[in-house]
Amino acid sequence: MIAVSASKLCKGYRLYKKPSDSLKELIFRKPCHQVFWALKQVDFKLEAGKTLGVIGDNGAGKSTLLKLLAGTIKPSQGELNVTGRVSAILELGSGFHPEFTGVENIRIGCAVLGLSATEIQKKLPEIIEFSELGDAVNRPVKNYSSGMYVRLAFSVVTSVDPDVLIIDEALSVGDQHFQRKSLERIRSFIDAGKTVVFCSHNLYQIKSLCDEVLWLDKGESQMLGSPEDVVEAYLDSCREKDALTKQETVAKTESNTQSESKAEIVRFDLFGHDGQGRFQTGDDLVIEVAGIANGVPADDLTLAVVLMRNDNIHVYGSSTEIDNIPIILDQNQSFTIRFRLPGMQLLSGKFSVYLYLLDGGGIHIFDKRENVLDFSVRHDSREVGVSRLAHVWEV
Amino acid sequence: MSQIANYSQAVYLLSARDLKQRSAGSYLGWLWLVLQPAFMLLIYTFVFGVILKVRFQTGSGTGDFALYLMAGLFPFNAFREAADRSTSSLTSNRQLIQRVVFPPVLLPLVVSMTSLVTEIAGLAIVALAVLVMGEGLTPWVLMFPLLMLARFLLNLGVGWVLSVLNVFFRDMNQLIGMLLTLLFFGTPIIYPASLVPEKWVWIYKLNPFYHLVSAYRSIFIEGIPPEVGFYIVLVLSAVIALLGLVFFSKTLDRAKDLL
Repeated sequence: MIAVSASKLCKGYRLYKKPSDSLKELIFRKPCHQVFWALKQVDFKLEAGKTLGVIGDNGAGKSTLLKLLAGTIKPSQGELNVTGRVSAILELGSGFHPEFTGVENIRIGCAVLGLSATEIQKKLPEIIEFSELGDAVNRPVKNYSSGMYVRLAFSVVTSVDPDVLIIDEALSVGDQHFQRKSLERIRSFIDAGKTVVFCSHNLYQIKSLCDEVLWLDKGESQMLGSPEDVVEAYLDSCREKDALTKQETVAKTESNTQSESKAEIVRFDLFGHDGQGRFQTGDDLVIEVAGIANGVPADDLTLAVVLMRNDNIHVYGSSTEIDNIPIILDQNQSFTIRFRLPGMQLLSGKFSVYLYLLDGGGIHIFDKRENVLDFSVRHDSREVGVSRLAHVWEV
Repeated sequence: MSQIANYSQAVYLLSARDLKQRSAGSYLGWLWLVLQPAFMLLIYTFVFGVILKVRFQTGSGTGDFALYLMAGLFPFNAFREAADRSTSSLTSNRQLIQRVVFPPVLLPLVVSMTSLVTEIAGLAIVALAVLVMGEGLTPWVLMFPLLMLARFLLNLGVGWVLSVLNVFFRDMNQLIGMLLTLLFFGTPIIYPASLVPEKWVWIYKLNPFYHLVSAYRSIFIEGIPPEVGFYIVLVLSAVIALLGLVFFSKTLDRAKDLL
């Protein structure tokens, strides 16, 4: 059964010079606005019981989409069908009144969500218990710390029993302990077969909770698919954006290191991938470099290999000089060297290789190839980071 | 309408909160519900009854003036307050509208509901005063719920329209204050209808409060049934409420985008 389906979903905000123009338009039937499309042609279907994560930069249209799903705003074009009782956590504690006690605010909070008096009475003890506020529930909310406030709000809003739950960035509330508790509650919703749509900047949460992920960019659906694929694709694009801003500074320093070239790199290649530059974590990765010395003695040559992630993070670099590996020249003054990473431990990301042919001291550059041999890595586990580190758990 | 059934508990609790909000944290609490109108009554009675010596019936005294005054003043104040507050009911509950799946149509309703309580408090004072100083109550007084209904429906219709308009024109809040003052002085509340010059009477009769205030005085003070004008107002108020609802639902989506 399909619980949520959106087809060509659009939400445009009409921008008026002044609010009253909107009314003028309604009366005189003469358009006087510009349209800002917060959401453009978004399509997806979500089966009942599945969890959809929504990711994207700020202003990508995530909140707009969630508001549409929650029903607080209406789509401008396209179709949206949501089956079942919807409950939304769009902003915690909206509608709380500071002068009233926790209990009073729980009652009103529940009523505003559409609960009847008897339902509220039944839920009250459970909500108070979950919020862990203890006797403080009988004090005015204005005296609460911000942590207590969100705890109360979260307890109220998740106490209803919806078929479809919509959550906007609400999972990072309170202290560590409560965060875990709220995450568990969301998980219990998922386990109970509820349909959940949520957006978060915490990609780890997205990966661990969602069945499907939708990546929105400037209001458009950029990608829809499995959490691993979409999250990684999104991260790649983020890194590329970061790198673009850094690039200029890098380019400047490079131009100064030009050198008269004697020894040369003539060929380089990458092995171990699937034919399209894709690796799985744990694959063997081999970089092969061939060069010619052009009169430079073998003991005055160093080959350095640097792995760089596409956000300009130096992942790893080493050289024949550092590792004390002699370069052997054949009778044609050529050499072929393999740099092998057995069971390569890099985690998901896009990488490229920087090759440097240096003098024996590793200072003077004879030749270089930068930003070559692009490859990508995918990993299936939920580990995070640049590379897997050898570790043990001691229990 | 089905929404109203689903959210009846919400309307009830929000109205209750609305009322409590005024007394929350104050020493006299609920007493203010009575103290405030009593204070107004005293001032108006002193200025108009004692100094200007306005009389509703020839040969009657200041006490009589006070009776007539309060029978008009209290219901009108309930209206004035609700109209004023429902104007900002959407703009001040932005969060509730955008962040919670809560039908905004109920917000002006909550305000009008609250005003029923303030009106009842006022009418209780009137009834008490008539028993003590006047000639006693007659069974006609039992018609008061019908009068309140007319007043409530007017509030509702006006509230639905004003609340949306206030989103488009934020000046509405200022404007409504002036309009309500105009309505107050344009209704025979602190002066008898008999003082209105003959040639202006037709304008006065276009004002629903002209008939409404007169109806309150009929059933409470004079102990007689309301005049026919009241029944017209009653029907009219239902129509106004309905039109207000239509206007509200037609314009709400536009208003939401501007909140």
